[in-house]
Amino acid sequence: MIDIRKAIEIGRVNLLRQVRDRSDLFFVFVLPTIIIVALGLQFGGMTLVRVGIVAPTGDAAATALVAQIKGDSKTLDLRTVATVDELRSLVERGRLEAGVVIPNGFGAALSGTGTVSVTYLATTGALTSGVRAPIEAAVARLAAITTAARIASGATGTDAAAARPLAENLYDTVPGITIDAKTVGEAGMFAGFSGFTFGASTQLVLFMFLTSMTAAGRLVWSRKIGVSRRMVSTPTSVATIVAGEALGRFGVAMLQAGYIIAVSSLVFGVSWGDPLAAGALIALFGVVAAGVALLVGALARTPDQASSMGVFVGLAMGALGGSMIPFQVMPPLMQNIARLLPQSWTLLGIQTLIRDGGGIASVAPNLAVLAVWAVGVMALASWRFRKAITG
Amino acid sequence: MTGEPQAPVVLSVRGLRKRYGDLEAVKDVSFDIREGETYGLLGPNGAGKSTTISIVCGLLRRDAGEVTVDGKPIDTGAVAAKAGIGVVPQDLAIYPDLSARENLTFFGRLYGLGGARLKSRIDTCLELVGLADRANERTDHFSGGMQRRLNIAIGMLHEPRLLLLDEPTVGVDPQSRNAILESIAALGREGMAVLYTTHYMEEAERLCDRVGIIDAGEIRAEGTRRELVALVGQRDEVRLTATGDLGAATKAVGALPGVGGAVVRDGVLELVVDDARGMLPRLLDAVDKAGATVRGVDVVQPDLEAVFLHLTGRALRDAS
Ligand SMILES: Nc1ncnc2c1ncn2[C@@H]1O[C@H](COP(=O)(O)OP(=O)(O)O)[C@@H](O)[C@H]1O
Ligand SMILES: [Mg+2]
Repeated sequence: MIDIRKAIEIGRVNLLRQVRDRSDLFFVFVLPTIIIVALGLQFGGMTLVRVGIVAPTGDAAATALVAQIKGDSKTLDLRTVATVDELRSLVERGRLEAGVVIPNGFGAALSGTGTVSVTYLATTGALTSGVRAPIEAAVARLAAITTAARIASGATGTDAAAARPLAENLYDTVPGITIDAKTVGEAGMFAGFSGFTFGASTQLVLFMFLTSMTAAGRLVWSRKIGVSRRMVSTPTSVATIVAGEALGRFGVAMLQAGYIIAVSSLVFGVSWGDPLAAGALIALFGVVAAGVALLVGALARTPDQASSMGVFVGLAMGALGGSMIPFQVMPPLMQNIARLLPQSWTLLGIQTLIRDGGGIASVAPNLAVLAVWAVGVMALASWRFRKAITG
Repeated sequence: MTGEPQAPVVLSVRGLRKRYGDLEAVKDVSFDIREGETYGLLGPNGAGKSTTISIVCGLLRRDAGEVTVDGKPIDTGAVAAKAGIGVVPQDLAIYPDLSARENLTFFGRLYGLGGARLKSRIDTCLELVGLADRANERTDHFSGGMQRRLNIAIGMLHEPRLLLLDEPTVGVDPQSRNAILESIAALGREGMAVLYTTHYMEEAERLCDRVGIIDAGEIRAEGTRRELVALVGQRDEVRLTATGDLGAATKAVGALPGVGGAVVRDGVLELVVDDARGMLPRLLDAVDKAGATVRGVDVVQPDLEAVFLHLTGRALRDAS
C-alpha cells in the first residue's frame, strides 16, 4: 500500500537535495548547455531549414527568383507548395520553418510600374531572422535590378523588357548594391539553428539519464548513513519508500528535461513538436531513467561505486542509443543494439515529432516500447531496492 | 516492591531470538517496560543491544519470540503500529545536506504529523535538545554532539508511547552528554516508556529506573540498581592502582580463592572479593609476586560495573 503524500514528501526532499548540491549544478545546467551550443555550431550548416514556396507556374521572373534564393543559401531546403492556405497551415504546424509567396502575375507586374510584394511567412522570431536573410538578399537583388531597369526605361524611353537584361548584366559590376545584398545573405546568425535541434534532443536523452545517475549515488549514501532504515522504522510502508525514492529520481530527470527544453526553445528556437506527444515520450523515458537509477542505488555498495556505475551505464546507453552519433550513420550492428535501448526510441520519437509534426499516434510504437521498459525496470529496481533497505 | 498500583505495560518482549548465520546474537531475551519507566540495557559491544532494538522497532525480522507495544504486535510489516514507537539509532541517521528543521519536517511527515502541530512539535523538540538557535543550519556544519542531539530530537518528535535509544551518547562531548541525559529524563517524567541501551555504567545508574544486564545475547540479571547491587551480596569491590605487569597480576589475583572476578581498566586492577579486609594482604602479596607494584588501594561500594564483573567475570567496557 502506497501513501501518496508520504511518497511525494520523500520525492520532494530528494529534489531539494539535488538542487542544493552545487557540484551537480554544473552538470545539470551548464554542461548540457555548452554541449548543445557546441553541437549547434558544429552541425549548424548540415541541417537544412525548410522553406515552402508558392510561385506561379510558367512565370520566368518567379522561377528566376526561386533559383536566386536557392543559389544564395546552402541552408535552405526549398519545397514547392501548391496554395497559400496550405503553406500557411504547414508553417503554423511547424512542418516548415518559413514560407514565401510569390504572387500571380509576378513577372508582368515587375515590368509594370506598380509595387510588387513578396510575402514572407514564419511563426517565431528566432527563425525569422535566420531564414529571412537569404530570401531578402534575393529579393533585394531583384528589386535593385527592377528599379534600375525602370529608371533606365523611364529616362531613355527604352522598352522596360529590353532594359532588364541590361540592368541584370550591370548588377554585379555596381559595387554598392552587390555588397549590400551579399552581406545580408551571409550574416544570419541563426542560419544554422536546426543544429540546435539535433543537439538539444540528443543531449536531453543523454543528460536526463546521467543526471538521474548522480541521484543514484545520493541514494546509496542515504542507505549507508541509515536514513533509509530510519524511514522504514517510521509508520511508512516499504512500498511507499520505494515509490518516494523512485519519484525523487523521476523528479530529478524531469527537472533536467525541463531545463533543456526551456533553454533550447527559448534561447535557440528549437521547437519540440506536439507538447502532449513529446511530454509522454519524455515522461516515460524519465520513468526508465529513474528506475535504472534506483536499481544502481540498490546494487552499489558505495556512493562512488554508484557514481561510476551510473556514469558508465548512462554514457554507454547514451552512446549506443544515438546520443553521440546520429542513429542514421551508425553501422548496422550498432543500429540493431540501439533498437533495443530506450534512448533510441525516445530520440527517434522526439525527432519524428520535430521533423514531421504529428501527435501521440505518430509515436505510438515508441511510447509502447518505452512503457515496457519503464514497467520492467521499475519492477526490478523496486524489488532490489526493497531488499537493500530491509535486508 | 511497593504496593503502588503499577502503570500499564507499554513494551513487552518475550523470548526474543535472532541468529546471524552461526552467531546467536540474541538468545531468549524477555523484558517489559511500563508507562513512564526508563529501562536500560547495559552491556558491552556485541552483547546484542542493537539487534534487540532493531527487532523491537520492526526493522529486523526475528527468529522467535514476541514483541508488543501497547498490546499491538510488532513485526517488520506492522506499519501502523510503528506510529507508537520513536527510534534513535546508534548511528546518526540524518540528512547532512538539510537543515535541522528540514530534517525534522521530513521525518515528522513520515510519522504522520503535519500543519501547525508539526511546526509546534519541531519548535518544542529543538528547544528540548538545545538546537533552537541553529535550526536553519545545514547539519553537516554541526558538531558531533549537535548531530547526536538532532538524531534524538527526530525520535521523539511525534511523542511516541515508546522511545528506543541505542547508545545515543557515544562519541559526544561531556556537555552535550549531560544535555542529552537531561532531556531523556524529562521524557520519562512525562510518561513515555524509554528503552535505553548503553555500555556506560554511569548512564544506566543515573537514568534508568530498571536495568537489564545483557551479555552475549542474554539478559543475565534485571532489576533496580539496588536490586542488582544486592546480587553482588556481601562482596566488596577492591581497586588496586598498580604499575608493572598488570596482566600477570590480574591472572595471579584472579586465581585466588574468594576472588569473584578481576580485570584491568585504565591501569587499575578491579576485583570483586568476599571480604576485602581479610584478603587484602594476600592480594597485595600476589600482585607483588606477579611483578607489579601497588600504588594505591580503594575499597568501594559495588556499582553496576561490579555487578557485571560479578556476573560475567569480565569488564563491561573493553579493557584498553
Ligand atoms: N547484520 C549482521 N550480520 C552478522 N552479524 C551481526 C550483524 N549485526 C550484528 N551482528 C553481530 O551480532 C552481535 C550483536 O551485535 P549488536 O546487536 O550490534 O550488539 P551491540 O549493539 O550490543 O553492540 C555481534 O557479535 C555482531 O557482530
Ligand atoms: Mg549497538
